[in-house]
Amino acid sequence: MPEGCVKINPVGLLKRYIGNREPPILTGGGQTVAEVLEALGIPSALVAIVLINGRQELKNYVLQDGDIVKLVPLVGGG
Amino acid sequence: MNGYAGQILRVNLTDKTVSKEPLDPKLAQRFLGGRGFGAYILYSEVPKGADPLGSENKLIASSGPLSGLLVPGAGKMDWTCKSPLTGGYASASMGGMLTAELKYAGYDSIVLEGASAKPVYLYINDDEVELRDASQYWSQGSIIVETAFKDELGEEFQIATIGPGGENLVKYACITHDFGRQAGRGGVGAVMGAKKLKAIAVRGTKSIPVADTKDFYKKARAMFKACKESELSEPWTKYGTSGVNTWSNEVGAFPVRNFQAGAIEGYESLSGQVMREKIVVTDKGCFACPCPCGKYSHSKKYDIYVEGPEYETAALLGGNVAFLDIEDIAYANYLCDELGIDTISAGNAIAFAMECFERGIISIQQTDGLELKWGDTQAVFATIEKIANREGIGDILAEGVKYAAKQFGGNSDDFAIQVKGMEMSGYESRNAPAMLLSYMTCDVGAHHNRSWAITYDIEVGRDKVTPDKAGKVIELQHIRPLFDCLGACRLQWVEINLDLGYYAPILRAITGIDRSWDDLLKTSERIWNLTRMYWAREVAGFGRQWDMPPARIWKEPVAGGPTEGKSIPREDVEKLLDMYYEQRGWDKNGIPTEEKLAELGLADVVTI
Repeated sequence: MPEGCVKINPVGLLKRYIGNREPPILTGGGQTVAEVLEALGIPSALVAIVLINGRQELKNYVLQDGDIVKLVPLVGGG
Repeated sequence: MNGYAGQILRVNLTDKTVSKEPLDPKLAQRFLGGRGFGAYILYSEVPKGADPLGSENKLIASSGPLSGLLVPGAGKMDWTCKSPLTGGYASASMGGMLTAELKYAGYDSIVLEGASAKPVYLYINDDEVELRDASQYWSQGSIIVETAFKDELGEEFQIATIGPGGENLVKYACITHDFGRQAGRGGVGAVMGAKKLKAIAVRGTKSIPVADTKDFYKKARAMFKACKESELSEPWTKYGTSGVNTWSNEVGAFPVRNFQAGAIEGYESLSGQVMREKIVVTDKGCFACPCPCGKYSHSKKYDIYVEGPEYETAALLGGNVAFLDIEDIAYANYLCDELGIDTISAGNAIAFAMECFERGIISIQQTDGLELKWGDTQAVFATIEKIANREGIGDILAEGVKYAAKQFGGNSDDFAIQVKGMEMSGYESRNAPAMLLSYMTCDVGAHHNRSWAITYDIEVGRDKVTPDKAGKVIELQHIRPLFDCLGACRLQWVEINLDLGYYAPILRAITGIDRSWDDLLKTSERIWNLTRMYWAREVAGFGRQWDMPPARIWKEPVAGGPTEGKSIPREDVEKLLDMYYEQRGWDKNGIPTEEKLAELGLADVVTI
């Protein structure tokens, strides 16, 4: 990933929202996860867990350069 | 018989006799194992009208054909009996190591019959089976006793215990195993307590026959590889079910203050990340699990260790009683585990009492002087102990919220959050009709594990009340309980996305019998209908009215969170049932038709 970018990696069922494309790479941070989800057309309610560099964050997290974002779909509960 | 241990163990607690029967291949063919064996034995052997806490009831613990083999998550055991909580069918699934150990000892199921006059435990060491005195363990906590048994018998024994809640016949007492895995729902622990059976200790050293070993290993390796390579393994292993605590609030599904609202302010403090940083000591898995979702935790605040809290406990003993500190929830979880009561029903019962107290339906005299206020930790902890020990208000709450509403009166029946007498698990569903229908039609009461359809509501539109939603609920009610027949965990499929296409081929490699996935689903449908007929046989006037949720669903809109103002009109609730019954081939009262029973090959075991 180029320096100063943010990688967005939807996994499992969420892949369908980016078609067969490579995970999107944003040029630089500054946006919240919720804003990125909206821009990509991924329904926020279907994203159960947001991992930023392997750590769970809320959807109001403001992305920073170099972040790797894993979006984990809604699943089966306890 | 390939895939099976080949014997059913019968233990009569009344006369202390033990017998071993060969497993009938026809039973395996028609009911597969696990929950299927339990349902058939319950229906055919427990007499109509039996007292759930009397000696006629049987407690049936069963493994499945995958249990104990190298299949991802093949560590599930089913516990079936007539439920003291609902008066109908109870079946609770337990993870851990016990199901594998039981098969290694040479048994697919244990059928516990009769009742002992004095406390005993069941000792199983391969062929050696006996009932032994357990007086010294009576009245002690579940995990204390499990530890004591490990010390006495050896670490290699697998132990299932009840706590004081089971001994005191709390209607939602659970059975605990592996220091925090439970058969939680429906009061299976009370049935064990009524039999004066404190524990079961199992050690097995035999092997399980497999039809085609080479093919089996090939397929098993492929399944483990798929789990390990799944991008979903990382978050599920790291956070377990607590990973969805924040999501549930974001979408208004988190039960808050006795299911009044769908999100709680400050829910960020309950996130999986906060829990991991604050209390989690290590990940903990069941038998043959590639993605151990259990979290073993230590609370510094209370200096206790507990497995959890799982999502359901964070919901019912968190949001539902207005707790926002994960350590408070962990302590409530610890108390319930040690005392041996189900956290879901206990959380509901306490929240129900809190709402009654808030509304002035019950007075401080009725709460034994406790100020039952939202978020009051001492009130919650004290009430948990009162329930387990059946003291004061705890004696009423120990019967479940349906009974408690009758005692407390007023309009409390409207907000006693239960279906069929079982308290609802952790999903506010006034803006999720498929999830609501899942609760209404679940075969043990308001539980989510047969069908968890809120995903579908979100995907297709949360306001829609359409036939496809009933269809989705039915589809899930056949797939998910099938795992409870196979004796394997469904999380590898649900959470890790392991393809369902793996299961029929590996079952064929194990048993040598070629069965399609559709045939297995038909078996699951057969069991679903059999359990429905069990309800019809046992409960006078059983039918449509027993599938109705509490009136809060249509009378009171959601009072906070993203779905604020939403409710489901009563006519839509009825419409959901109409669509569901029609697609199931049941009559308008929700009873399977003769044609449907004949189609499923149930004519020979079903009479009302």
